[in-house]
Amino acid sequence: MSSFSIIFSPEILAATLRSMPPILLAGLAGIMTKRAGIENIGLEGLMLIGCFSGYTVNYLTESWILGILGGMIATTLIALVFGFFVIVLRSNKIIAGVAINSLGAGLSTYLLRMMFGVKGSFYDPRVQAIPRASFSGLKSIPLLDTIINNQSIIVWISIILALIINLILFYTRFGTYVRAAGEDEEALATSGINVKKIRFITIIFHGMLCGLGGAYLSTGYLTQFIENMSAGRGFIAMAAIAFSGAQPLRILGATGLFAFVESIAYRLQSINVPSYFALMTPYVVTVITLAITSHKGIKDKKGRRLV
Amino acid sequence: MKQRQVVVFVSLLAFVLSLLVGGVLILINGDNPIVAYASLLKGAFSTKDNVANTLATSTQLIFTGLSVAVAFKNGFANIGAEGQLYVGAMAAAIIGIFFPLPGFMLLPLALIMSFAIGGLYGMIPAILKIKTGTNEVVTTLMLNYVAILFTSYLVNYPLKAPGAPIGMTNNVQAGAKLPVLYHGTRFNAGFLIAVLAAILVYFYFKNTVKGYEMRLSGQNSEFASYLGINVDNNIILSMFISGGLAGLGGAALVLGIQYRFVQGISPGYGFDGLTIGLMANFNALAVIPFAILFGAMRSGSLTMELLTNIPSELSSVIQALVILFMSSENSVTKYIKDLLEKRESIKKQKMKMKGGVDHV
Amino acid sequence: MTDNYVVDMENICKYYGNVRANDQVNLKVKKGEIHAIVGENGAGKTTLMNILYGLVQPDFGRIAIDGKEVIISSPRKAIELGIGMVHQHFKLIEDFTVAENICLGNEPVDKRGLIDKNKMISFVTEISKQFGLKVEPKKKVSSLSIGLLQRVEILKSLSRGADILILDEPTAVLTPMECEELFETFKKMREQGKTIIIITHKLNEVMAISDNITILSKGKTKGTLVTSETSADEIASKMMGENMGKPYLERIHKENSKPLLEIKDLSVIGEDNLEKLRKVTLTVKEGEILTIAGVEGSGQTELVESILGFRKIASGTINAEGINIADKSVKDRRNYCSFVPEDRIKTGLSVNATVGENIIGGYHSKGNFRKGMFMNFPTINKKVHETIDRYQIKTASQYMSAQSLSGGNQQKIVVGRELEQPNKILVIAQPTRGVDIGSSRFIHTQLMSKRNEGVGILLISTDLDEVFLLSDRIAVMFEGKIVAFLNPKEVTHREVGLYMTGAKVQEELIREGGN
Repeated sequence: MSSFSIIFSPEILAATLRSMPPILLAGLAGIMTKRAGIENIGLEGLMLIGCFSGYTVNYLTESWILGILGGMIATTLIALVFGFFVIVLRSNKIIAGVAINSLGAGLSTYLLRMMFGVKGSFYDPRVQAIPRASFSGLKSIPLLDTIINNQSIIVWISIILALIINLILFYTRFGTYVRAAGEDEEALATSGINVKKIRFITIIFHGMLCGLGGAYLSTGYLTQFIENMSAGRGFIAMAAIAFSGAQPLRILGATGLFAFVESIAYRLQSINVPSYFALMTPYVVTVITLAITSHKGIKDKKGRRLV
Repeated sequence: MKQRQVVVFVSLLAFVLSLLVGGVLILINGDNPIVAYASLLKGAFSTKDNVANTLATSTQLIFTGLSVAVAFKNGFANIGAEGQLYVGAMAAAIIGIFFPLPGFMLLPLALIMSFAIGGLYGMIPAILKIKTGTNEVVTTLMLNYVAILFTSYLVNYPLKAPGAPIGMTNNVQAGAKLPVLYHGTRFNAGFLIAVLAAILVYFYFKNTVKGYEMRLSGQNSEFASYLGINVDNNIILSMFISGGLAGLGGAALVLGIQYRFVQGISPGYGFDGLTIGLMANFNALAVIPFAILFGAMRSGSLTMELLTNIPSELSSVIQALVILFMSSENSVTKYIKDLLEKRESIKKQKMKMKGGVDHV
Repeated sequence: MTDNYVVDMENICKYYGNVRANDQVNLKVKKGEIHAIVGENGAGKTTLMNILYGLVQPDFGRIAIDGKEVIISSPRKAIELGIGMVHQHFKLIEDFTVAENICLGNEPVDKRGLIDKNKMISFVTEISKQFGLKVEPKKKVSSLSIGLLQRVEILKSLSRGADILILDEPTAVLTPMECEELFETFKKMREQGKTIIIITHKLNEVMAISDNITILSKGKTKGTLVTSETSADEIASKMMGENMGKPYLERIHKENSKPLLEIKDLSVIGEDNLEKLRKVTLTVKEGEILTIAGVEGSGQTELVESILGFRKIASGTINAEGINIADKSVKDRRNYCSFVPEDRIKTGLSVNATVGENIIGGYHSKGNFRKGMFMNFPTINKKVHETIDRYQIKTASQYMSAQSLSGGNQQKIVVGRELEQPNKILVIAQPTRGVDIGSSRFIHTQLMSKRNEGVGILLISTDLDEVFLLSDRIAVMFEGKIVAFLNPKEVTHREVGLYMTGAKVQEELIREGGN
């Protein structure tokens, strides 16, 4: 098989759609907090909490929907811890974000061993996978059948969520306040809006989105929990946020691109070609893109350029 | 002086609170937290071997803690110590394996190169920030993964030891190994180099003109540039030093502990460095005790796991909690200070106006 | 007893750490009056108004609005009570449009719950007509002039049905013309039954516009006066506790004084590709104070930054003591020029560094203050002690962090450090903005004595009183050009005001300027 046909096969496009949701959901979560001025770089940690709690609740209840809800609730609780520190205690966001990453990784592995007594990964056949959707009308078109049919419902839900969040951010009161909180919180406060409340609601959205992304990873994308299974997707999501300028519609494209690259990497690995460079791509692309696009950052607020 | 007492108090408070939350987790696990923490301490310090092993782990942590301290003191949020450690470790491994030199030249060369490569890698985000205004938090974070993945490629393909089950290089030459200080453990001369580095960094900031300029740049870069200080050059220099120190941490790991580069060689020492730097308030000398504390948690937690049922991952949870509590250090410190002073004022006021209505 | 007053604040106390921002303050305002609150900087005026607007909670005290005792827990509560506030630093969101800013928190929504942008714009147009304050609803706020920003702020308050409008230093950044316009607006609003509270330290304005005056000093109320029954002198003496004369040191005239700072045909292009400075030519001579007067944003910042080396110049020369410094580094230029920036607390010092470290900044790498790569602490400490003594900086020791000092003392650190440097040229921007009257006088006297020692001073000031007090010559800047050189003894405030707003120019300068 030539490398070209590996890269541009319908299977790769299907794999791209399949691996999009975690990055997209974490990215949307990150956009919400970034827009509200409480950017959280702890997306990776939150997703791990979502993976673990989603899988565990699913295992305990044998219900995929309760699993997702459990994952979302647990992740939101940890996100609220971040919110409490950043919003109420006025913690340094970056450091609190780093803490959430470590906490997510540490807590999920600690609880894995404590609750199930295993190390590395946990699998139980009783866990119900999130259902997949097929559109019978597409069955007759082989290309679309391969790409679109038999995808997890979360794939479609996450894409719809991107549209909804775009609507919320730019066309509703709440979204206006979220953006205002990020632009100038004092201006918002003096307009009689409770900035803390707006930010806490944002944090709840943020936690739910990360939790959904995590639960999808462990009960949709795969059906097992593996230590650190988010495997840097939280950071790729950050890259996508930076790449898209924190625009919910543009991040759809960015995550598509990164998921595509990720799919190629795994495909290459399966035929024993070093995948490391493909895996590196999102990070390198982001650094380069940021370097090119943020040249306006060189100016300070007054538009001054230092000699 | 009062300010400093409050800072120390808040740091300790963060640590104690983290232990308390960790204690709750231990209780949920059905164990006794006091027994658990005692076994952790025992594992870290009860025998000479244990102490030596704790110090061996601390060595890397002193380097990464210093790396973070240097960067943050100059106002550059370097979250990339982990990646800088990886490239430094790789440089040390390559020199140590391939350069046909006698020991007295090989070891210094490997150390210097790990510093240089780590430093150059650290300079990338600094240059990007200065030339294009790119946010260093994102770039340093991204570059961690570039370094981890790139070194993984090297040890899995071109540098892979023949027949090795996982990605790892051959052993370094005997002459490249850091001398062991306590027989039967991995406690090695890297620790002495780390302590020396801490002392140098401390005096650098305290007594040299450049160190003073860097501190001012970090506190208020616009002010520093108004004084004629070249803030940009200072950022690049400080990131070279910061990356270099993290690189030395990698060298200490390769030349003092593993004797080869193994894929995923650092279990997050670079991120630990962030906690340590923070708790030390970016003071180079204070980095040493905090690095030993976290080294003890890492080495003691394995003993704890053997003696009790508690997974050793508890230490990483506690550490994450410490970072979390420390993230609010500045605001909480200020709050406590204001509160103390305000209580005085209000007390005086209340005595003065007996009829006053308490508004809050 | 309270029902005569629309605002009745009693015994208000607010402490920040050990600073008593408000200490048993009383304020009584009648309905439909213009009430001025006067006091020096740091007297507690803004804190008191932030309490009234619910931004800050008092530690003690009672507040009654329209005779009813209330607790104003948030701005939302204040808005409900009909209180509006226009802050000194406008609280507008730059990235939003005028309409979005005015409606922030009150956006009209349609049936689907989405914001109705058309309704928003027609609402803004309507209230703008109702109050006679013209704005363009669709314009982004970041593109508006300061006068217009203020208008947007006022409309924002009025649109929420504010009956009591608080304005913090409303004229600080306005031109004389804009001020007159604003006062007309106030009078119109008073006729409509609104109550207006202005915070200010400009006594002539207080006399011109207010009905009653409350004076604050050091966090305490010093009494309430009826404007028509008092005088500026009486207010001033109550504000400061004593009546102080103006500082003045007669200029020592020297014949054939050398030019120290010569700027010729200096042009600067901004990031937006607009010309920020257009062929500016000026000379500061030995022993003189040349003042650049002008509305904020006329190019003063660009001029200062070009001289100090923070900004690339498009063309022209800058000579210091006869040497072209236009291509030199900031560090080299600082060997000729001392520099006190406009925003001293933010950019003039590091609050986290110690007093000593702040005082030595700039010399630290020169002469005896270093030994090779090390700091020479004995010499440094000597200099630090001298400066602390000479500039009467009140601090427990040089090792205290600058943060622990009062604002006035922080100012003295900056001024002291810069005036102590052995340079012949001093560039100083807004030297007394935000400084209490006592420290202002100290700084003015120091500047005059430096001038008399032969230093050439380039002063940037938007405060016309200061311009007239200090200048030997005035250069008026408008839209990046010098439009007039004036002798302060021969012109009036109003005339300078005309040049500042471009209503008048000295034709010969413009022609020479090559336009």
